[in-house]
Amino acid sequence: MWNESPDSLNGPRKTLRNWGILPYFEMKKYLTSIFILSLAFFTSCDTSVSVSHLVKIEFEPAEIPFNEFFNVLIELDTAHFKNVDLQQMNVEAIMPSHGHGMNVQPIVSPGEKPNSFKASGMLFHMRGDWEVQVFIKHADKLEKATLDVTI
Amino acid sequence: MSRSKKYRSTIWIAVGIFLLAAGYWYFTANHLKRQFSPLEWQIITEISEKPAPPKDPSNQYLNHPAAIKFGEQLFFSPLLSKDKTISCATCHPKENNWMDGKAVAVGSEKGTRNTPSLWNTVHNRWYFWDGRADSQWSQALQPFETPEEMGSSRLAVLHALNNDDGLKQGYEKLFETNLDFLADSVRFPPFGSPVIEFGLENPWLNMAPEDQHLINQHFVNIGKSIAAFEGTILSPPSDFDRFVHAVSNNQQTDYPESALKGLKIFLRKGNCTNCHSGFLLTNKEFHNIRLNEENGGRYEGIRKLLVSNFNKNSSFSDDPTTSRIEYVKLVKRNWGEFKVPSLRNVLYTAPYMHDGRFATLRDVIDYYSELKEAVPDIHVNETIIKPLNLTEEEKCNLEDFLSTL
Repeated sequence: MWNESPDSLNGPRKTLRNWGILPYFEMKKYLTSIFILSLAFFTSCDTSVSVSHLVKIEFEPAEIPFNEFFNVLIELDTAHFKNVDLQQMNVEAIMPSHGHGMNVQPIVSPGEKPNSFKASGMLFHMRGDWEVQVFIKHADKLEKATLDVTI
Repeated sequence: MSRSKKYRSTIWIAVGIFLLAAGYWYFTANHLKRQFSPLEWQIITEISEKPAPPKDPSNQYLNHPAAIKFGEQLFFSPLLSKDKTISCATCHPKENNWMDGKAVAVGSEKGTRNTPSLWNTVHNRWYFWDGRADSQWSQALQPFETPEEMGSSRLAVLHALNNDDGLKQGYEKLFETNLDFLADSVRFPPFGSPVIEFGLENPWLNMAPEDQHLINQHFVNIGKSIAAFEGTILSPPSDFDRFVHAVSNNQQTDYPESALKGLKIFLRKGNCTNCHSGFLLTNKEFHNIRLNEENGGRYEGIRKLLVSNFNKNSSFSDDPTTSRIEYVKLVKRNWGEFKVPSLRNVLYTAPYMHDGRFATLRDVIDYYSELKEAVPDIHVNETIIKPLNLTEEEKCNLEDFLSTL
């Protein structure tokens, strides 16, 4: 299930912001608290390359609890993300307008499905705009997906 | 006019008066609520919402009636301190909102940190200003072995307990054990601890590991008993709680107008709810509010927490799975961070800040308004700590609001 109706917004507002480390196509859309569909177009200096990525993110519990621990479940598109290095996979969250992030460091472990991961120990201790950052190392590339969340 | 018509008119007039009165009453009651956005009202109700009964799976004795009673005995007993004059209540007197009112605590010697009140501390996530303990039972043990506080050691504490008939009896009954083994002074010397420097004479170092473990287990029981008692120290509803309850139920309230203005400053211009949110009016975490950088604060706290034998991850926890210590990581920005204090009963818990540097609430408000003597923000990551530039009236309103918490 990779498509969701914008009308099915529940819980905290989430806005897909960007995906990738190079100039990107930005789309903003209301999404459910269950997952995001991430689509990006990459370009390099010499050549133009278009790549579609799918990243599925699920919060556990589905509605992020304020100032309580929660988990992030990540599922990567197997066609694009091959040989993901779990040791270098990292999930963080920052408050750009505050100049700080979480006071905790989540632990990433393999999920139940192939190319799925679980980041446990997330904690949003302040209300406001947060940016969830997922760092993925695969095929000698480090890529970052970000997701804006308002608590 | 016929009699029935007259009768009907009277009824209609009565109904009209009733509706007008009800409308006036409803409008005035809701008038207060309408002054806030839905999110603001949610934040307000979260503050006045009574939290669920305390629970700490790492302490099976929390909410245990006999443990609460015995913990109370220990809390008020000076017998367990080095010179038998200092109890937990010395720095946390009940009659003074469970704190001493001094800038920094004075036990056996003068300390370095302000004594926090014990109101609602069972709901904390971390303990001490630097969060060096992750449970109340672990926190309760540390003053025994801190030279500035009770100045004793875990072996001396257990011997003192064993030598007092009342305490010994209470302990042995509660934990279904016997402390007579302490009579063996060769195996169990009169003093000693792994966390106190006694030089080469520290008898702890000569003890068998299994005996050390046995002493630790009994020492932890003392902490869990005291924590059980401290878990009962819950603050009654405040004027602010009564105000929120009245407005939520469309009832009239005599909440002061100046406090209401102060609440709006707290939510808006002051942005105080960034850190002071929820029932405890704290996010239970750590921030650097530019007071100084000489003290390690949370940085030192994390270092101590990670190596503590009594953290929730240890074998002394009744449920190590509830530990969150694995998510704590020592990073540079922790330097100078201190725990956000609860604002419940804040009017009565002066002086303020980790070192008690501010004698009054007004001093605290002045600091946030002007940030006089704050360390330069280039050294601190908290970009939200900016001067609030409050007017004199706004300061008074904010103080009036804080006084109702």
